[in-house]
Amino acid sequence: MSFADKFSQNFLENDRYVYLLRGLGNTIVIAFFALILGLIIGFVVAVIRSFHDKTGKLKILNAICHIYLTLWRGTPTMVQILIMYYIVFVTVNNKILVAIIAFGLNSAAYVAEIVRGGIMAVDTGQFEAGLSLGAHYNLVMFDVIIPQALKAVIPALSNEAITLLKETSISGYIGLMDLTKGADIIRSQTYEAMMPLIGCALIYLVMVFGLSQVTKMLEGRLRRDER
Amino acid sequence: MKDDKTPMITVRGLKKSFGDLNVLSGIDVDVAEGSVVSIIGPSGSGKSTFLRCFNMLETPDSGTITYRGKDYSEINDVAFLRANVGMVFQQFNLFPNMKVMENIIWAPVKIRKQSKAEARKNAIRLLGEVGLEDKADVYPAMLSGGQKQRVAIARALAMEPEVLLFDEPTSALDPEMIGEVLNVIKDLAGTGITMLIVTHEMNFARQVSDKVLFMDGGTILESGTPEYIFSESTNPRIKAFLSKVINGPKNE
Repeated sequence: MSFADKFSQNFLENDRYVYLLRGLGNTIVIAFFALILGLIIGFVVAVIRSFHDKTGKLKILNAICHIYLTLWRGTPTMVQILIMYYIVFVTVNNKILVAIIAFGLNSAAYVAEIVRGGIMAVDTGQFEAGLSLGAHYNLVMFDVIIPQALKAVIPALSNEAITLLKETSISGYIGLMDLTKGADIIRSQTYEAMMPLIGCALIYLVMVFGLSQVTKMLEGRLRRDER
Repeated sequence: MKDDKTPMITVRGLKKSFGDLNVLSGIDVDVAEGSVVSIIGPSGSGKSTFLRCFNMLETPDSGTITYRGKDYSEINDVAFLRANVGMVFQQFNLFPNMKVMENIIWAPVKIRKQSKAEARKNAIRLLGEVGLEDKADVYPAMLSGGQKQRVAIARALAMEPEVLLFDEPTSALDPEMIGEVLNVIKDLAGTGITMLIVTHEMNFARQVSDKVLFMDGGTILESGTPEYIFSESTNPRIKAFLSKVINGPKNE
């Protein structure tokens, strides 16, 4: 069978490309909203943890954050999404929502440590300068420290976004059709692995490449602002 | 120096240690309003730690600092005190994420609640005073060390502090830039602002100070007029230190 025939059989016959399209749509929705959720929660956890690191206050909140980080970074994402779907959200029928929450919480744990690292890496002198002008801790944190920290951690956050996007490929395990599952469905129908799986891989590759480009642009822009 | 008045700041029995290390072991000082006090002495003698007690970046273990009759330990609003006691750091500590203008107006706008227009007007005047009126719209990364430190001084002055603390303001500068910063500080002397300056620039300390404190091993070995410390003191420790730093390393 020629390449064109295989292509036609796997993607065009019976509109099989729709599996990929729908799967891609779900992958994008899950990855996008999980990323947003992860950034928000991760950011809050990082601020709480670094506040505790710097001042010794918020002991209980810090302990809760610490337990959360230990659990989520200490167990496989795969197991987490199964637990979320079959135990925690057993009554929720919206699989996409469950996946968003599961991946979001997972990603947040990594984002939190990335952002906290960035905050702690900003020179102490910056804090002292802000405080010495009569500012309270929070004002210095949000106006001075966090902008510098975020700029420093953009490459690491972009890396996390890429990891998250690729990790959503296990969504199929809760019976959800993401891009990977879509490709696998085609494979199971045509008994032809090459076309759908390589095709699916190429689509991931293009998305990751796009994300890297966006990061590069963002970094360049931030640097231009300060030189 | 206005010795006839009650001192603005009174320090009594100030002690501070980090673990086993006694950094300050009992310091008594009076600072008169509007005076310039230089703190000199060898490295590790506790000069910077002492200075940082004045804006509560360090908390002493015991002893008191009284500011206009009020004991520091009774001050609840540390930020309010700090707004009145400015600080200039060795490493400048300008905010790299803000332009020069934003660095200067940040605290007046956010803390003093000045309008942006008013704060900008002030900032332009201050930049003029430190000779950098053309640098308002650049980021600190574009400035030389001397320029950064002058902006840092303008930033501190924008809060209109009563007291200004200088923590080795020229120690991180290339030699050719030290003069421009010292000149700015000299111009401030006599404007009514009270200044405490930790410095290794002996000629500068001699010219600008009303009072010089010589610190060694966490105590004030001697204090007095610049003439006294630099010329008349017979303390062997002070004489040895001064001959080393004033004559430079060629004697060693």
